[in-house]
Amino acid sequence: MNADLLSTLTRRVLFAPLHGRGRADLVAERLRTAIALGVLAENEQLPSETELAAQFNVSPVTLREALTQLRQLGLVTTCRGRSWGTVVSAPLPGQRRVAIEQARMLSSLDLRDLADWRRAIGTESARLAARRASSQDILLLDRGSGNLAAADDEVEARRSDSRFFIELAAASQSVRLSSNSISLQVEYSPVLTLVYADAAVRSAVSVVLGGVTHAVKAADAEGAGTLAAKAVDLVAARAAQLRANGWDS
Amino acid sequence: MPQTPDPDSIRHLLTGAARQILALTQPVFEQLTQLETTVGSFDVDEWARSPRSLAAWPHVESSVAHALESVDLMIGAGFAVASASTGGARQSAIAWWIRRDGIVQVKQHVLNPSSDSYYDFTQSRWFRLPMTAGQPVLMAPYVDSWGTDDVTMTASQAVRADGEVVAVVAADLDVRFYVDKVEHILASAFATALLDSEDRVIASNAPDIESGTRMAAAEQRDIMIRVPIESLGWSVVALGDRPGAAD
Repeated sequence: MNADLLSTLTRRVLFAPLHGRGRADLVAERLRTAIALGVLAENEQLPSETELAAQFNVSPVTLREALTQLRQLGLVTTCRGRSWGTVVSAPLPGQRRVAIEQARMLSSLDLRDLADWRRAIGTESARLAARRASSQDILLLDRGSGNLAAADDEVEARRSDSRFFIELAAASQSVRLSSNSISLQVEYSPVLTLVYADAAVRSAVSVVLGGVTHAVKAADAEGAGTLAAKAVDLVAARAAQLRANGWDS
Repeated sequence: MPQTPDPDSIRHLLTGAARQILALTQPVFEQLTQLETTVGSFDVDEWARSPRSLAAWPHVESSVAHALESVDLMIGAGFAVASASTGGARQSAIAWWIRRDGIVQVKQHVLNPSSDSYYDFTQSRWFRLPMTAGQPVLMAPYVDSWGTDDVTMTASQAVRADGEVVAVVAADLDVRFYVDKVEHILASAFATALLDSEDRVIASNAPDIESGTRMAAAEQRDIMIRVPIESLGWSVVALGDRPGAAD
């Protein structure tokens, strides 16, 4: 029987086969992103080298080269012996550094485009969630906005934000909005990580997200949509400011 | 203009529909009961400590494969457990198989809470209700983020050893297939719908009533007659136009 290891959409987005001849640094880049975004978490075990190579559609030799790069950066360690395998060991400060690198590659047009996409998905998810959410969905949304308020650092905050918006899409019961939401969160991750370094921003957004949950609960589609857009715009405005200052505030 | 049937006839038709709807998932719960006995009294703590071990038990895998191959409506099945280990931290484990393109395969979930794709099934009703209250559950359609990432319906029940609930056995159902069948059962001259325990529409024969809509948010329609499906907490209802609703 085939093991379906990398089965979630997030992983499919990151681990789609590389086109053309895969090079070790391309693979290393993909894995670095996955680790920086928390898709692969600290102490999480990667699939075996053979399986990863097959997933990326590269030769095992190329894959091994990529893992060597990551090992040298201190992002993974490989244990041989009883618990054989490669394990993620990403330190949090390293994640911020990678986020800055990735954010610097975004032009102002890219930022605008990402915010537009986020606003479109978020607004429609919120409006539909107001019509369709179950009590379980509302519980998860409540918890999500609470987690954002309680987050101690930018990585926790980014994670809470991502889970809120993905849960909002799930509450809309739309499969396409949900999968879009996941891809979007992965792409927007560096921006969210840097924006949420500021506790005041975390607090402001969590209040708005609490409002979204309240509106969803009350079946107020227009209110939910408006507040979701507001949350997106708060983050986008802060991102534009940060970008003007080179992202390293 | 067709005559509106009288309330008694409507109630009679709804009761018949309710019975047929219940029959759709009967084979699923029968399979779950069989799977329960297959697993028997395995060491749940040991399984929670070493999650891969259950998936490696050959007789468990072949029993699950058999269940998935026997009932078209079932597209995934497996076992889940959450135990309080002596260290204090809760350990959870899930062994799951899916049937895709006629082939049964193991499905891995992400169980590391720090991961973005962390699958926290311990909070889901399909796990919680059987685990804490020993009750079987049939969940209305929901998007299973981090699980199947698709719209899903889950049937689940408790696995007992020595009279105690030790784990949960569950199955994911093909929602599109199920909704199609229910729409067929609901076909009639008047607007009807199958509602879940929160009065959200699972399926309806009225084109203007979308699946997933909460009745509270359905501006144009009201529930006229309700026939409960007790064992599921669901109802089959006849709908009328809300007074003052636009044509």
